[in-house]
Amino acid sequence: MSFVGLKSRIEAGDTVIIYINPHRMHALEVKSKRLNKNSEEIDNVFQTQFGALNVESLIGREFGSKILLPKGWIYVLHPTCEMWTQTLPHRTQIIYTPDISLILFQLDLKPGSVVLEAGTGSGSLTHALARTVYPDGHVHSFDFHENRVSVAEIEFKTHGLSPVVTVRQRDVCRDGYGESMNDVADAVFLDLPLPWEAVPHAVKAIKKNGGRFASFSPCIEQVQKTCTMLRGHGFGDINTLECLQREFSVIQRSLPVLSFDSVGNEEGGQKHESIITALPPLTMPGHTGYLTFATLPPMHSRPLILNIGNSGPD
Amino acid sequence: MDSESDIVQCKDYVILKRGNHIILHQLTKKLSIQFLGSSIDLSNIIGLPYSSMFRIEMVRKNSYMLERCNPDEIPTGLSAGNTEFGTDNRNIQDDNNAQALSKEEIIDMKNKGLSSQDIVTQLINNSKTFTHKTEFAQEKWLRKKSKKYSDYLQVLKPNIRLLSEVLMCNTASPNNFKLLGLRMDTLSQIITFVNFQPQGKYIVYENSCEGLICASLLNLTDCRGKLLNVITPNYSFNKRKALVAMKFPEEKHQSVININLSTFAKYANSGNTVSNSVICNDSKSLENIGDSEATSSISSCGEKECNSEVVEVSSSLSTSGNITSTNNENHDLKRKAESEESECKRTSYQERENEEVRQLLDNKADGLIVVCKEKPNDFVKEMIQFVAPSRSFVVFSQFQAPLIQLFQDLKQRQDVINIRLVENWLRSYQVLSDRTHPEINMLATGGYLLTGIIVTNN
Repeated sequence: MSFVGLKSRIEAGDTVIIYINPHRMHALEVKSKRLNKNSEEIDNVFQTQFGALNVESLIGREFGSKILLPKGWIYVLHPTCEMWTQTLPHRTQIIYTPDISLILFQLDLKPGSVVLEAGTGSGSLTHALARTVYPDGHVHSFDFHENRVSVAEIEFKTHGLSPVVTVRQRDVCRDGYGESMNDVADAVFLDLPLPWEAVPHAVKAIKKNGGRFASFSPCIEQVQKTCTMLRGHGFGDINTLECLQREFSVIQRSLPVLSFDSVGNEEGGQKHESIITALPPLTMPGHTGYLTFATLPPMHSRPLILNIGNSGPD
Repeated sequence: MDSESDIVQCKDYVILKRGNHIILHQLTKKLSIQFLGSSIDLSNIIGLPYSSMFRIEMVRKNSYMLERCNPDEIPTGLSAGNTEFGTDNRNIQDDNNAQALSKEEIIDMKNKGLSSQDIVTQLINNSKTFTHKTEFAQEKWLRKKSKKYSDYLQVLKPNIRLLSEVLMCNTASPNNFKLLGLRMDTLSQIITFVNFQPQGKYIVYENSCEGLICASLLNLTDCRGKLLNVITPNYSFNKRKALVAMKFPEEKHQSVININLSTFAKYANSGNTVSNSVICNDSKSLENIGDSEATSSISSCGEKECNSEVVEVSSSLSTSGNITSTNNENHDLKRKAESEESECKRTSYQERENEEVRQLLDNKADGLIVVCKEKPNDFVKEMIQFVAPSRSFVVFSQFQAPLIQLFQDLKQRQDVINIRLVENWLRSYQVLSDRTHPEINMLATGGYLLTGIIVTNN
């Protein structure tokens, strides 16, 4: 529970984040029993480097409290979409927070918006979409992979997202979104291998009043084909972006001082000065994916004579 | 089909887009604007739906009006006609003699009201080198011209995405960042880092962003959510421009509670009670908050350490130079309390709201957002006490140095974990078949973000 909405105390069935340090976080469901490898029911005990945590003992504790374990302590935190993105079980490549943030922003989403997502993947973005459109909006998420759909469905239910998220198994490129999705969407998001194939379906799904479009693709060829298709289907303001995040470590270092005075003084007596600085990481992801955004104008301003002849992929 | 809010109305803020130029404009009685050197009469846009396209038609020299047009008549770009093209640029000399038309002749064509396609055709016919250019070079030239001479204009309804674009770009002096250089990717991350929930209660302080932060958050707030907007006495119109431009429905404004910075200071220092403080609803009594209201001084009854920090906050936040001397604190405070009392007629409504704020502060907020030009360190360190456990704060600064310092200071505390300092990199792409590459220019920085999570240690 509680990915949408906030509360202060832990109840049975909640998903919580176990915080050990910034690089060690785990998402747990608070329940007394869990299944082991042999599908036998055992007590839900979570092992950490500081000792074992009886998960059931968290019930009634305040989110954000320090939990003492035999050899140290951990914190138990309220789940957020961002921490879920950091801790979720990967079933596919996922979209990370910097791209998610930009997608939410560029799709003009707000409470009450209706957004279509294809494919669901591991549900990293779906959580953030749900949080933004809650409580009156809706996320319709589609994936062609049967197992991914059923696992995601259970996950969304456990996380309290069911009122705002519907997952369906469907090949959107081949079959479109379906009749029931005609003229419902304020925004459409695509994370598909062949996103350009879904563009005509997106046009049908977007409201007559117009809406926004976003597509996430790792390869530039995908982007080119998608942009050509968008131009041929009446989209405007087509904009492709790439966003990377650099995280700094704040460190204090003592540096030897090089000056005229230090000449001949290398042995022992050299002065040191302390500096505090922000150090970027030595390596970081240099590419996640290209994000292409576009606007489908309202009917009254949508070009109708489209250059379909040139709209196919190059 | 169109709801009333989709129709352009008088007094609306509208976004006007011509080529790749975009401006924000409030429709007043005087319905003409200067846009790219020409005076355009806007009266024809009133009453039409947003997103409509208009053709810019000349009435007389330098004076234009708008005629609504069918989107199908708008050419996707200018065309060169069926000209030949060269294979490379070996025969093209950059001697400024290529164009036979003089600047005056070109301006004259414009003044005669020729369409941009006609002008471009003339330019091509009078160019010695155009046919020697490669196909791609010709296209690039045409793209540049069509951006410069667009005959069409689109009227758009302000939203957060467009406002962030239009308020950020400062064509007059590109080196002078507006909005503190807060780029849209950074803005978008402020919202996710703080885990912004439509029904949550958030404390926000912004300065020098024209109200864009508050507007962004309010746009994402449901009727059950609350924004506690920390204001200083000089809370002028410019600090809430984006809030007004968004034209939120009245009930939306009920979600914003403006609270004077001094209220927080008093609450923090006086055993956590809100008393005799000026609190008002955004829509109701903003007019009352003017420069006339005295800068609040700081109560002297708090702990020494705490007190000195708050004084610093107050002085660093005061931009008007109207800093009350701290020597006569008690005296000043008394006088101020009296003047506030007489100035503000307290209705039962306001008392209820006082009560509401007291409860909000007692129960603590679901997050803290600070985006300002000031050094935010002392303010953030004080405000953290108003944030509930397991909730986040996010601080934006144009500068890295204060956030490095804040990072270090917070690291010492037991009640903050997962402190992160980040910067983003954003670039956009020209996507054309066989000619896709990053845009030549990009914004080199979008500002810095520091975020962390509050915890309890008992």
